[in-house]
Amino acid sequence: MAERQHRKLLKHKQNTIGYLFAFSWIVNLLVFVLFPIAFSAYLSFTRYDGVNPPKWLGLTNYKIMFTLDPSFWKAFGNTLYYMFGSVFLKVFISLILAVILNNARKGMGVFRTIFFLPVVLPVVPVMFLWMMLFNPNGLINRFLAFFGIPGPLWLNSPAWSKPALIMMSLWGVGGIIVIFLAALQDIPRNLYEAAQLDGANSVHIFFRITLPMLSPVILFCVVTGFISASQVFAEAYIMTGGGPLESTTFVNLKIYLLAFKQGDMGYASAMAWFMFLIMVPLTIVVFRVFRKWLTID
Amino acid sequence: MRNLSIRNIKIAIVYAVLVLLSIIFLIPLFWMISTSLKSDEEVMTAPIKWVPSTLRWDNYVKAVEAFPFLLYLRNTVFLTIINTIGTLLTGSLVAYSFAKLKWKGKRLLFAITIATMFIPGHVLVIPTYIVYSKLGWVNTYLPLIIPSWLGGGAFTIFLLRQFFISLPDEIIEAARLDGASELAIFTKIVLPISVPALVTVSIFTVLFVWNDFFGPLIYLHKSELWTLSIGLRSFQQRYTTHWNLLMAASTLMSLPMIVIYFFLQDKIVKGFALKGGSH
Repeated sequence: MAERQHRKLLKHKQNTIGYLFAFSWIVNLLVFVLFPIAFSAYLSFTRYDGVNPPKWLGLTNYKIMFTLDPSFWKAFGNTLYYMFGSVFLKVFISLILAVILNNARKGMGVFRTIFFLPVVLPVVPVMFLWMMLFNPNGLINRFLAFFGIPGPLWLNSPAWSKPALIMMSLWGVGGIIVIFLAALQDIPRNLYEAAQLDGANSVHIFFRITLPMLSPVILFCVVTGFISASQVFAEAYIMTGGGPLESTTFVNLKIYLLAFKQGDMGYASAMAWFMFLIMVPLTIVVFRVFRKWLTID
Repeated sequence: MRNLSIRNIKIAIVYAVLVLLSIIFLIPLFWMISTSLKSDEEVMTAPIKWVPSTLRWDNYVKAVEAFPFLLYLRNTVFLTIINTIGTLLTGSLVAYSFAKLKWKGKRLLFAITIATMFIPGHVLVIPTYIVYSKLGWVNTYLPLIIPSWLGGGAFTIFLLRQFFISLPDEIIEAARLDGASELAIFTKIVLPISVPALVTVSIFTVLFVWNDFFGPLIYLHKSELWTLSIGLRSFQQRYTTHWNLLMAASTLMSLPMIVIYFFLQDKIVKGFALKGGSH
């Protein structure tokens, strides 16, 4: 009896200490994650300018968004374009580079250092740099002219503005390369040795061993890439202002302009919630993959 | 013999590709520094001018004097330091709780924590802004500091938890049997052997705060509060055609991150790889 009482007390004490250690984070989750998610859902059904109390509108914001506001669909299309273009190219290129790097035993460190360097550079200077590179008279077009190719207007052209931003994002492939490199080094050596004994060539080895072993990591990189690319903002805000002809107006830029420049936080919240709902299934996928790794530890 | 030469050719191709790509990757950075040292006339000249005919180091002086660079630098350094301290203090406590303490609801809460790493942030921005604005904290540093003092974010907690979990339970149990309090165990035993992990977390915090654009953009509207990100942006709007001065200021803002990277790149790269979950 006393034993049970004692154990109960001990458990109670353990709980209290655990909560106390984690207290700051629990507050954070409640105030800055769970509450905002619920509150923005509420706001999406209202008209709210940030000053006067929110006015209930029912589904009006969503109706406007889906049926009456072509600029939303334009922004949504731009965002999808950027997401698919940037993520697939980034993952594809990083995969190739990681496999090549993994084969270069000597000097691999030096190359990795170079490929990763752009990842640590601050966002704003990097964008100014690329604005200069994409200038119609800038380095890229001078280089193309050297081969007799007339370069496009890049950021000033509705057709080339998104490809330009995608090109710029490729400078950051280093962040994915290091993930692939770590995964490549986790593939057991003996798998390769066995395949070599069987006389498999390197193309075979890549498709039969490397690619299948990497597939969870590839999935992870694609999904997390989608989630972060769906939030593309600073590129458009700083480099193009959303233009030309709204060709780089992404959903996040639209949300920012609506909420913070036009005082239409209700409508902006509807857009934010729509994006949230679209991305949640992806979050669940990545969570599943991620949890598997966590249990391995 | 034949096999060997094929192998050599393969290796030669691999290195040729890597060297070429490295050059392509370095050109933008080289161009930033080269432009920062050019005269106005040389900035966009027709044959590509890789190296300026005279190195205009005074561009750096001009750039720093053309806008309140030192003020913005001071603000950014202040935010970086205070956020790093907060992240280390609160993040390590939370992560230790997840790693080594037993309490009800821990698994669920950690699952939620991991999930928040992948929540698209759009949905959080507006309500969070409303909270801070109702508290009257817009145009103060509080919205940019408070999150760091409340656990320092999911990634920090995840990273530190992975490290704490790897520590042997025996040393903690032994201290408990000696009657040490949990806080004493944490500060006297766990923290001193966790310095490598704490350094990694510090680097990530510094990188994040130094590079942050969106936070300062929505919360800081008074120019005396601005950070380098926002200050540089306003400088660019006034000096659109002075690419050389703009690149000088950009180089100055990038330099500390490049230095940190060269000294601590293994930690940064490892942290990034861990972010990918591949461990």
